[in-house]
Amino acid sequence: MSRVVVTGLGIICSLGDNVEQVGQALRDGRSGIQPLANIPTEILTIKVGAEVKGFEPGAHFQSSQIPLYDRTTQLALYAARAAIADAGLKPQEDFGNRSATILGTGTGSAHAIEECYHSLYVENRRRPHPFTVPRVMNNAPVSHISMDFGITGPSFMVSSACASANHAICLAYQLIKAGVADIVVTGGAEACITPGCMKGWEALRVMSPDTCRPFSKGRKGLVIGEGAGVFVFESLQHAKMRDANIHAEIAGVGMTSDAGNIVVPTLEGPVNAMRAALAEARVNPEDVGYINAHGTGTSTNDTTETNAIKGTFGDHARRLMVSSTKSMHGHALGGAGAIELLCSVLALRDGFIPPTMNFEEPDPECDLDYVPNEARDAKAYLALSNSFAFGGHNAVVALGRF
Amino acid sequence: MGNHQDTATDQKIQEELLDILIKVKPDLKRDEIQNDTRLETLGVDSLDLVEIIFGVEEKYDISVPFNANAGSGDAEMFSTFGNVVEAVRDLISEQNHGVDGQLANSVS
Repeated sequence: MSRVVVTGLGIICSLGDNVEQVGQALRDGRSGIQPLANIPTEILTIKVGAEVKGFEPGAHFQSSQIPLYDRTTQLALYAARAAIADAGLKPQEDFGNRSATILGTGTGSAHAIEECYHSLYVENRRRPHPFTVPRVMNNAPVSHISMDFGITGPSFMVSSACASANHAICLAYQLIKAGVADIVVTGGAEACITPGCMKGWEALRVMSPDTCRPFSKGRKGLVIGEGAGVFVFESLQHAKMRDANIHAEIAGVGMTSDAGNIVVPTLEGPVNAMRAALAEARVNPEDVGYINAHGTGTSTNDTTETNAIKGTFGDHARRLMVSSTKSMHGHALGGAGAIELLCSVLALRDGFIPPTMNFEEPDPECDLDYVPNEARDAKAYLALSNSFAFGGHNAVVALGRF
Repeated sequence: MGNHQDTATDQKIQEELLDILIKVKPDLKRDEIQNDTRLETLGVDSLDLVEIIFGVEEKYDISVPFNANAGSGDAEMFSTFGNVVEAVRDLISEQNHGVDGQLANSVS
């Protein structure tokens, strides 16, 4: 069984378009949650989000390619390029049959599908753009990544709502562990801050009108974000052979399903996912120093997750540090797990714990150390990155300092 | 406007809200729902409540400022059936679909 290491990091989200910027924002507790600026907000009740600002496709892609790329694909490709450059791998020549790419997305290509429907049903146009199908298809991000880098092993997308990226990361880990691939380009991307998607989320009544206050008393719900996090995973052997820089090790993964309610999480599902990740990593609960929580800022998630952490860790729950970086980068849904794994990699590698911002007042039902409002210098050797999705899909990644 | 009309309107809203509630929870019987009945004792979960509010907004063309998170304090607004009736009546009059408008006309 191969050990699996992280050798490339790529990110674009509301906190920045490179690892250094995002790392600095996490240390400073800077939030990317702001009034929405990329879309018209007249019909919206909720007018805040964590958008990627100032991203000009023309600065990154050939004009002939842009009509093929929905924003989700654009952000995924941007982060994939950064991750592959960071890993020091050369497009085409360093990939091939022993490489794979698996990404997660929850909504898929929301901008493209909304533009198509708008042109047909609102503008009464007779025909949509001829690239509507290749642009809308949910597999477009990995398809373009495979073509751009010459990845000829498995390539596919994973969709499990807010756990999509973590499920992709789990599968990437397993492909390498099982010896099926040496290199997997993995992570997640989401770009669904469109008027239609925002109205859909509003209707569910779980959105905060101002900001995201995970685990805090008086929390009012989640704030939608967007972005992409992409990683290069390699077998340890392959990474050592080419003398690659190693950021962290994927120690284990855990995946479970609640088989309960479509929106209300169970306790057992998340507990069993965390236990499974610890078991695969062959570590004790006491070895975990940090949990990057799912921490959406809804009343239900944060109480259930707190209880699930207690159920998994017992007394150690009160000693480990838990934070929700969604308080800064918002909830990037199918891309969330990837952005949060990046936060966890930086935490272990650089020796600091990102804070839970906007923490106003302790909630008696959420009584752990959430690293409120200020980053903390602390060395953790093992971290969990949690994703618990609508639909009852739980995916947990155990990450080790290397 | 007189008390008589208020009562008539309340009764009408009450009947219409029962319709909406039973559409969401078809197993409920009208006579088991009183003003002081808590929605949670009727098995109304958070998703049901969101669906009921959608039904209310569609029925009266009003917007109900409801956030399902406890921290918003909105959940208490819809804790009993009587609370729902009151809240809806107030929202209708606030949002200018008052009892003298479409609703009063439909009371007959």
